[in-house]
Amino acid sequence: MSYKFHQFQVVGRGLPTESDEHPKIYRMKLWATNEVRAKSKFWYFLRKLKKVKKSNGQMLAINEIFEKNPTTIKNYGIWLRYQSRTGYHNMYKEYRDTTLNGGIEQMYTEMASRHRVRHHCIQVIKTATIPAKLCKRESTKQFHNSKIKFPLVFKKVRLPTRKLKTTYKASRPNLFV
Amino acid sequence: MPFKRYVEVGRIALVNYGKDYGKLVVIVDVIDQNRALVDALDMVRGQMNFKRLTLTDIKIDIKRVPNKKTLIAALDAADVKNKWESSSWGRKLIVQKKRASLNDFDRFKIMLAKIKKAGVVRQELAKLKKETTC
Repeated sequence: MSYKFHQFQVVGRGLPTESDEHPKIYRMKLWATNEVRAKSKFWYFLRKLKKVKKSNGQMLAINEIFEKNPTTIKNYGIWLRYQSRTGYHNMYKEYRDTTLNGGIEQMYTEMASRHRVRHHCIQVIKTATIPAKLCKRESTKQFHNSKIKFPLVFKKVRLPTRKLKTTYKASRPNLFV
Repeated sequence: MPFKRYVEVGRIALVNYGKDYGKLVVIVDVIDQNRALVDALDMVRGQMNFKRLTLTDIKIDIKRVPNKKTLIAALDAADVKNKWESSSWGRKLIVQKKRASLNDFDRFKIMLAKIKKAGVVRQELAKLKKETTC
């Protein structure tokens, strides 16, 4: 499973000057498609929080963070701040996924589809793995059932490879299971 | 016509698209409406979209997300492999695979066997015809 958004840990600080020999080091965890973008995002956020820019700062470390348990399902809660056509809003969304990167990717695609928000207008404030009891959204809570059981209605039969695809078929498809 | 095959923990499904095409996997948990956590003997537990799965009639008795050892034990206890290979669907797939892996000599042998079989059938038919006309 390749994800578009990777999670990076970026560490940086302002350059040491005569007045400040050991400036404070700041660390951020953020999502970007690649390392270059992650570094740029880091400076964007740091500029808004401290009086430091990329020109008078230095990057100390950038590491990609990988999912510890990609084989277990978790409920992710994501707090975000996004810009709509009329102003900035905060939002809390929940997703069920195996990895945090997958949950974030779901969030970006859902914001784009439901609210027409492009990915550069979204800032992730906080993410957390939520235990099942504390989930707020019905759409995630409905899967918190150890005896879950549902039929697959409307089974569209697909060709196993795209090479065998044909535009015209002899008979109408059978969609039952 | 109610539904008989449900997505549930322990349902055996056949992968019908993608890298693991043709494999039998167990649905070990449901992520959301479109995806399931799926596990098999020779693969790492991972997620799969329902569009890539075709449900079968076989279901094994496991709890949500068992570890690999318990899964293998449950698969052996339910004798999934034999049940699948003796079912008509499983048998058809085996025959298809065999046919696809024939070389020219095998196809020649099959041609001879078909001719022989047709000859025997035609003899019996001729005998029956003689009995009805006479």
